[in-house]
Amino acid sequence: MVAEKDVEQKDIEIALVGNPNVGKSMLFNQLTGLNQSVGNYPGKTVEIARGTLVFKGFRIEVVDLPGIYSLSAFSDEEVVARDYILSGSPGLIVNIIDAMALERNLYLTLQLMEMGVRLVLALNFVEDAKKKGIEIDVNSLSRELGIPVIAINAVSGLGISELMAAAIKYATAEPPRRPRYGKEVEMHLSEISRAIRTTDFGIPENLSPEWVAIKLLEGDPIILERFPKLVHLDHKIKTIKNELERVHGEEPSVVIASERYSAIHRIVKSSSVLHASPITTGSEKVEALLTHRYFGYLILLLVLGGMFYSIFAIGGKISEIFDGGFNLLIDLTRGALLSQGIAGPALDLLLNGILFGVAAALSIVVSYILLFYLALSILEDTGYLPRAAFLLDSLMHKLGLHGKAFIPMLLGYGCSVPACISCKIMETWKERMILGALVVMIPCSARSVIILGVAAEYLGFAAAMGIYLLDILVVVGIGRLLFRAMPGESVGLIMEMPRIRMFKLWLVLKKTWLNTKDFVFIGLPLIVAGSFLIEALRVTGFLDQVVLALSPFTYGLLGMPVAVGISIIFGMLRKEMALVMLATYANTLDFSSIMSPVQMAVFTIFMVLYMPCVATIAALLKEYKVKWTVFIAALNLAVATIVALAARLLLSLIF
Amino acid sequence: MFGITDAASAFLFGTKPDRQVMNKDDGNACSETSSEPKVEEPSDDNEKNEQCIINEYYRLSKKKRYSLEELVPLAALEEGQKGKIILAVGGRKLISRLCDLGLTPETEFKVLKKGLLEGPIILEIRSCELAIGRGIASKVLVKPL
Repeated sequence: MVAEKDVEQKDIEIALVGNPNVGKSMLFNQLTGLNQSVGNYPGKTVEIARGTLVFKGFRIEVVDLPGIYSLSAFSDEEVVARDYILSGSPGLIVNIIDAMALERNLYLTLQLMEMGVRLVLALNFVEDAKKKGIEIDVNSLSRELGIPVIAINAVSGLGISELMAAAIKYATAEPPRRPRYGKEVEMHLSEISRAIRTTDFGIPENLSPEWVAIKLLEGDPIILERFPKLVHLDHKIKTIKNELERVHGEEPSVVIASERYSAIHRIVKSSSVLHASPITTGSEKVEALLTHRYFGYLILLLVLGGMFYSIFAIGGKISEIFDGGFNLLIDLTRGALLSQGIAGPALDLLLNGILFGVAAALSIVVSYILLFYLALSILEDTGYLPRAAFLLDSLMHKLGLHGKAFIPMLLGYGCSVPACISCKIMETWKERMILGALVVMIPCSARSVIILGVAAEYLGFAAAMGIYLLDILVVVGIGRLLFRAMPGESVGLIMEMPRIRMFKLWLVLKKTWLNTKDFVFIGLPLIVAGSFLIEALRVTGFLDQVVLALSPFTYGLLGMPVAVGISIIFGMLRKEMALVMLATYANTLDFSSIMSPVQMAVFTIFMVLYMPCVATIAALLKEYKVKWTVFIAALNLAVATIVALAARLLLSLIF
Repeated sequence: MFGITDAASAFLFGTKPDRQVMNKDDGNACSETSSEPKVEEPSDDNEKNEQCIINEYYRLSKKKRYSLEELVPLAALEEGQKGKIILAVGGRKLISRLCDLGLTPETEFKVLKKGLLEGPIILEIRSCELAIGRGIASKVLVKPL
């Protein structure tokens, strides 16, 4: 983009709208480069990215709306996109469409036209479509639709200057008129919109009465909520709906969808040519192999195994080097501070509190979280995730979840932080929340240390396996309970299988960087504050009192030795420290000298379930906001207490 | 004691008592007319009262030019077979999702893949590939071509 400094800079706001997987974020990045910010839409967890560019003396603000298939307001993404478009804030919509799936993509275009907004189409993947034998006449498509259509290549940036020029030109033009539907439907629509025009229903000027009429006929769940006065039209709408259903034999919403698609079919037919024998491309062969009933699973195993192995092998190495470096730094600082005459509590606070906290946080971030984000972005951008979900769907159904839930669950055995973060691959908010609550209860590698170090060491291998099994049962049980108890709908699996394509390294790196940055901002202060607090307690001698204060719970309720309070406190910071601290505190490495077998079992069960560590809480805060994070923590604590108490009572009955 | 463990295993693994509860819910949903919005969409677990689906099929197909005999559930088609969407049974949200993704009545499609063990079905429809859970696929009636 050529940045021209003009004295009379004019501002335009354009919004990018399109289906998922059409290259929308690629176009957004081509347009705005690094001048962008990502934020949540107020009150919703839908992310909206904004960026600016200067083009021919215009300052253009670009808003990247979430990828959607329709504006029917059945998902948060659709509601956010619709509200934003209707707010009147964007002067023009750039609708990105995939030339290879023209019909499905134009469905959203038609809905945008119904809203009466100014529109420019950006036709992406034209070359790919040509290879598949689909040739599109851009001029005739533009003429048929009555909207400017610009062929672009979001990867190379071809056509983007033309797109921006068109956006500026049409930002002040008359909005296009939507295609006409069948006679029957048009008649009813004009009848309703006439009624809307002549009576004051409190509908703002910029809202097209025709659009409101279509939404009323479709039985839109939100329009009546927004404009309650429309209730007066209820009787009229009901009569018309019955009439439509009688004539067409379908629900009115299905009739309107069919009308849109038949208009689209007409337009596509007259503006594109499909050559008789499309060639099977290389990527199609790969796609067939990835979902193959046997090879598909083999590849899945290799992909997931490879991903896990590389994250934990490379991450482990990096974390070793990192910890070594930081230990050296801490020693050096200690020497330097001692020579300055700083010693005692202040030194401990500085070193064990702050410096150690920073080291702990950075070593988790750099070694695991960064790598994990990288792997997830690659799987996402290549289009592999939907394939994995396809293969695993029937397995996860046995647990009451859907195919994609497998990946976070599996990651949970490694580290809870990436597991929580990866929950965002679930489509609905409800599934995301439930899965978030479940993955933190899966024993991560640090908690496996406790299971192996206590249960396996002193109670035998079978006991350790029993605890793993118990954990799975608890997770499945809580999962089923949450699915029943939580409001919200789930429609089962309907998902697009996007084409497999090579990921763009700079896009993947950027995504990784943005996500990691967010985590560092939330996680680092939390971990540092946590370790500072505990160190402060230790230095001032309050730690013993806190451990003692926990005794009604640890000793009274769960029947464990009072000393395990120290494990509970440090386990909140880093789970792997729980055993070390207990050994130091009780001054013994032989846990059987301080705990009976029953106590050990109760201790292990409680430690596995009781609460996510600070880093996980930071991840939860980033993904789920405060309320649900608090709920998850409270749920874990409650479940851990109940299960541990049950174990105590049952085991003491038996032994 | 056994009662508790029975109930617990039933709850965890979705055996008998669980299914009874599901059926009761579905029965309520079925008695409503399909144009009413439903709060809870049955998931594609498809532990569904089959009679209810069949009744609904019957009700809907009466309005069509097709007799019920020439129609089959989408889930019954084999890999590579082509068909035409005729009608779908389900709540508003499901129907609307299907329409949004191009599964409107009279649309032709091809079954590309059927997942192992009641896994999802991949369709080619309007030159896109869509994966649909087996439960939903058994609520869509099609005419084989």
